[in-house]
Amino acid sequence: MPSKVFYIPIILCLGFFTLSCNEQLDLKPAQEIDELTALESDANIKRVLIGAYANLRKSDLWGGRILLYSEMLAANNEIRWEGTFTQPREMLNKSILTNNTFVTDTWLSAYNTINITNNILDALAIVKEEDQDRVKGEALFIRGVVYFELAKLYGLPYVSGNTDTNLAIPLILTPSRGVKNNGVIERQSVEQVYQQVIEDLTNAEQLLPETNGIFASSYAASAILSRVYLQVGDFASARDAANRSIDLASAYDKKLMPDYMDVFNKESDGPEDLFTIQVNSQDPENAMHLFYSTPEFGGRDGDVSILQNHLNLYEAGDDRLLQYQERAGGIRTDKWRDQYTNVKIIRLAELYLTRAEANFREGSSVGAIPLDDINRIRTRVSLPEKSNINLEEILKERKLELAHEGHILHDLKRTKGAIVDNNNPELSYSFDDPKLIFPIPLRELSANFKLIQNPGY
Amino acid sequence: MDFLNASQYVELFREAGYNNDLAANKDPLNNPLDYPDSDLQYVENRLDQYAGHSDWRDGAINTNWQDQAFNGGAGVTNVNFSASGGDEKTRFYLSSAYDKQDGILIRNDFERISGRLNFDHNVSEKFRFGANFSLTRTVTNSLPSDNQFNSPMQLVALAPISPIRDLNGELTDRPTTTYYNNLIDSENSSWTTTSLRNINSIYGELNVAKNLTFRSEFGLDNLVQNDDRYFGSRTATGQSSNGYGSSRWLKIATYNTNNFFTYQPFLQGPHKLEATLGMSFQKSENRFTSVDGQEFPLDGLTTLKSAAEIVDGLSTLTNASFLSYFTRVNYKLDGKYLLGLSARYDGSSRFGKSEKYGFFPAGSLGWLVSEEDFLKDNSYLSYFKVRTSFGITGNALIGDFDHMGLYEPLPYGLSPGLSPTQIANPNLTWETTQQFDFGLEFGFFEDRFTGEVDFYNKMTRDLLLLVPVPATTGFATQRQNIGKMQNYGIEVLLNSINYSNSNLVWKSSFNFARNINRVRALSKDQSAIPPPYSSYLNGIYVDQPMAVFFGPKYAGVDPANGDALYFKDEAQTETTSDYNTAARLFLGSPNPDFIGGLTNEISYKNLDLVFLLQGVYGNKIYEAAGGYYANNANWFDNNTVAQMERWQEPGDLTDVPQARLGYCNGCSASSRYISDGSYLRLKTISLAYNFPEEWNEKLKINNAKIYIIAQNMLTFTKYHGWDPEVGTEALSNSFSNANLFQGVDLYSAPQAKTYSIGLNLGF
Repeated sequence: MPSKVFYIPIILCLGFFTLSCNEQLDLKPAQEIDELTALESDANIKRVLIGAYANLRKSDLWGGRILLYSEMLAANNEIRWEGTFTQPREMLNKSILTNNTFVTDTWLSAYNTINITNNILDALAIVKEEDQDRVKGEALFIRGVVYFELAKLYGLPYVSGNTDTNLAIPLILTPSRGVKNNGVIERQSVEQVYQQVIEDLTNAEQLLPETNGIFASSYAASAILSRVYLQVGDFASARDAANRSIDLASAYDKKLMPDYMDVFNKESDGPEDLFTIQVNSQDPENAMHLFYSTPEFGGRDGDVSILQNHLNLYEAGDDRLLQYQERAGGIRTDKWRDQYTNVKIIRLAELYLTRAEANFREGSSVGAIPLDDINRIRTRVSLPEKSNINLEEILKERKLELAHEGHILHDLKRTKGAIVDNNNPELSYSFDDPKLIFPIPLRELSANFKLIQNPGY
Repeated sequence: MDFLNASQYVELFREAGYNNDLAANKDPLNNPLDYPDSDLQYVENRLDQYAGHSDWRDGAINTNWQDQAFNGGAGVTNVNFSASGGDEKTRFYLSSAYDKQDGILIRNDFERISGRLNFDHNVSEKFRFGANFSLTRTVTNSLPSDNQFNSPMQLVALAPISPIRDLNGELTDRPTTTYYNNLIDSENSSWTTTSLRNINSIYGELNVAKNLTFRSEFGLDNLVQNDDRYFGSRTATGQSSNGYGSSRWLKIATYNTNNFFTYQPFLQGPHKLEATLGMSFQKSENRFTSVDGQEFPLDGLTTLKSAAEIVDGLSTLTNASFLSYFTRVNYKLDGKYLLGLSARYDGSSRFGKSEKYGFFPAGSLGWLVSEEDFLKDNSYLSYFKVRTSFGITGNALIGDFDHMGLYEPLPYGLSPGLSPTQIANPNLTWETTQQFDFGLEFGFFEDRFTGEVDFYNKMTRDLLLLVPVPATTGFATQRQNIGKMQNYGIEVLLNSINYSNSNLVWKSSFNFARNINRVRALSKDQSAIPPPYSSYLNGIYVDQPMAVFFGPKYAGVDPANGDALYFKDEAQTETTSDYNTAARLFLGSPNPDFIGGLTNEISYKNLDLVFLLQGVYGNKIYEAAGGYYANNANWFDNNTVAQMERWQEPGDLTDVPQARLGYCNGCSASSRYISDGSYLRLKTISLAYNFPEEWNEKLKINNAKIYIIAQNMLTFTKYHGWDPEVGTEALSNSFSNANLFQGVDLYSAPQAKTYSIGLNLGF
């Protein structure tokens, strides 16, 4: 009977299928690897460290938006948001919704980055001994700066006082693999968070190589540390950190560029850059370019325009006025004109300004006398040297030198200034106004019942 | 939808600026000293900018941008051809078809050519085999997704005072237009998607022994799709880089095999039995490759060979497999008592090692009452059957590797890095649904009037949802099996031959369905998964329908000051103008209370007239773009005409708040942008002429039909947006659940009213 001939191979075939198919259910992704593999070797952990930078560079962190937030919240009727995005406009209007997606995304990316650094720090023993200091230093640098940014944006300013009771943000210092206890955690005080930031960056400064290519170096860590000390009003420490950073960076040929506008729109780090976010056509995101530039340079429609009020602040002949150009129906700054150029995070000029201010406040002259540091900044932009200087002038020089680079809000807060409303000149917001901090994102409040919302939301 | 014309636009926006000035104690209209720094002047500067070469004060330009987005004469062509034949041993069927359809939007059309061949051959009494083969080629001129600036629908945002072309005849662009004038894409870009899909299957069937057959099937479904895009040097995408091009290739190959025995013993007496036992396996492989480049020497050279700079390129592979064993037994007693039992044991690669398999049994009972003696000779009731069933099914519609904790490559500064993407859940397993069904089937008057009624109750457990976790874990969501969801309801189908004689036949078919969907539980201690984005309102809440709208409830406008108001408390007694402190309330469901349809077919001699009415009742639709185009002049996007009803002075009673430039006065996501999505639509009406027999014989064909079809001719609805039959594009991504964004209209293009003429030929 022919049927028997067929019968046997069919049974064999079925059996074969059953066996081989079972294995067919064990598939692995081709674009991703298992988390245990990612953290199992020296080489892989160093790749994860690069990944931590890649997260820090996202547009909702140092890829630009953190700088934009400062500019929008402290617009002071000197700049204007003209774009269609409502998220920055809510910041400009000081009426931020608790589900503002920019506010939410920055929170998400920040803790994602922190979790990566915690994973690296946890797996440090696997890293080759000779590289452990550097890897640890870079991870601490990244964790420290992200906590610093979160503390500034989501918590009341340090100089408001009550630092032991005012809430900043949750501090997570260990890696999470899986969601334990539903992941709920409380916010820590402003004091605790700033202490952690100072500890991380102090350790980073000591562990990091003196110079480190595009990655965090010792002079970058001390530079950011000086910013942290300024923010908490510890001027002596700010001065010393700035001075250490200047000395070390100078030893590696860091110096002010002769021509102010040459500092900006660069694809690679220049002599003045102590830390930047790397942007290139392969990895093009730069939120400051996107919103500040104009279509012919690959930006949006010119979402931020600079108002005459700001231009009026400059002295005649100031080379920094050259950055202002009329494009796309408004005045634009050229600091963020070109596509695929690095995001400036900290440059040498800031440290001279910090050292000058801190020396002036402390009555000291560590590194240089304040007047010399200020004149260094002034002569570079073709302004006459000053023969004497006061605090107000130092702060104004700082404001103009670092304009549109994401400093203004935090400088106004630490100096207990006020911000004028863009529409109503009679209305202003004091440095400790709860409207000048972000809400805890609505999605986070619903996922974590231990969080308490900020005042004013 | 109607948008503001030029003079309305000027009026509303000048008012929006002036209102800001008044609020800041400035009065540029009555006090010229206030004018230079005023928002009114700012608005007028903007109007100057948007008017381009023209002057908005004289109203010479009045552009209807919406008209520009739609295709004038959307047409459809289709031609079908089929033939079948064979002899006792071999049978074949072949067909081919051609379709061409213009989209309702500009730059969008679709062309398809397809062919099919089916073939069966009996080798012997014991063995037969066959094959199906089909090949389809489609060419689509594609559009970006609805939320992109170069989607034609977004032209409605442009100001009516902006001219389409400048004095040199060139299309205007920013800064004259508020946003990118994407008509430039029509002149200076191309985007063609070509796909080739080949579905093949073969089978062999062997009578292994008396009453026992074995059937083996093997199928291959192969899709190759190529997406070629070029955005020229004048487009928004290519403007800063002398053109931008992209070439993308997608290949999806799915193969499957089914192998099963069927046993049909010949039993004595009233018993009939059929049993099946077998296995199936399916594996799919998805490969994608793309290259993007820029800096093209000229816009005539659009393939990536011409790009001076390759800026992006990638290839990806992902795959999934399913393995099942199944058995089924059907038993029939006396031709009127029916019993069915089945079971499946399904394994999926999408779950962790110990959780791959699920067991899914089912059973059914049926009683053909009309076969009973007491009804058999009844002259009215020709058919009556009662049936009930209970069963469990499984669902694995999630990402291919959602159970794993994963790191993906993520470079920084051109160095390769690794970054976590997903938190592990090794316990992830099948979502299951228990379904109970009770149904009746009936026929009256020799089945001239037939129908079916079904009641069902489904309970889905361990829903495969993306659950938000505290971001402090480093992750936003985790895929979990949580909760319960219930669906219950009734479905009715009625068919009737209303009239019939040799020349005229009139048939009707009516269907009705009411489904009630409720989320019954989420994970322990959890009662909600709130909307994932600020601009959307769909969330998941216990004891509410899936994807229910949840958010601030709009309470109209404060007659005293023109503020947009929201209810502050659940009882809706107090209102607030502060969106943040508004009570979050349930705002309606995107699921309809019921849906229905009515088809009528009237045949007179060789003419067939068919028309289909369909309707949906009780669902809500959220206009996600309402905050942009119905925002009482918040920013310079053109607004709907309804915004002219804005509040202007104390005492005004209206639902449209005061216009305040740059101050979102009621523009945030709320029930203001939710409206009733019920509709009744004349979906299809067609008229066909069948060639008479004698023509067919002369032409040596089996049959031929020439027809005209019109789609979407009439719609009755109270929906505020373009079209209540919204097909939201997949807004979901890794942060949100698939199917969450139901009933969302984000610049969704309306369905076209189309007329088409077609020809069917059968040999």
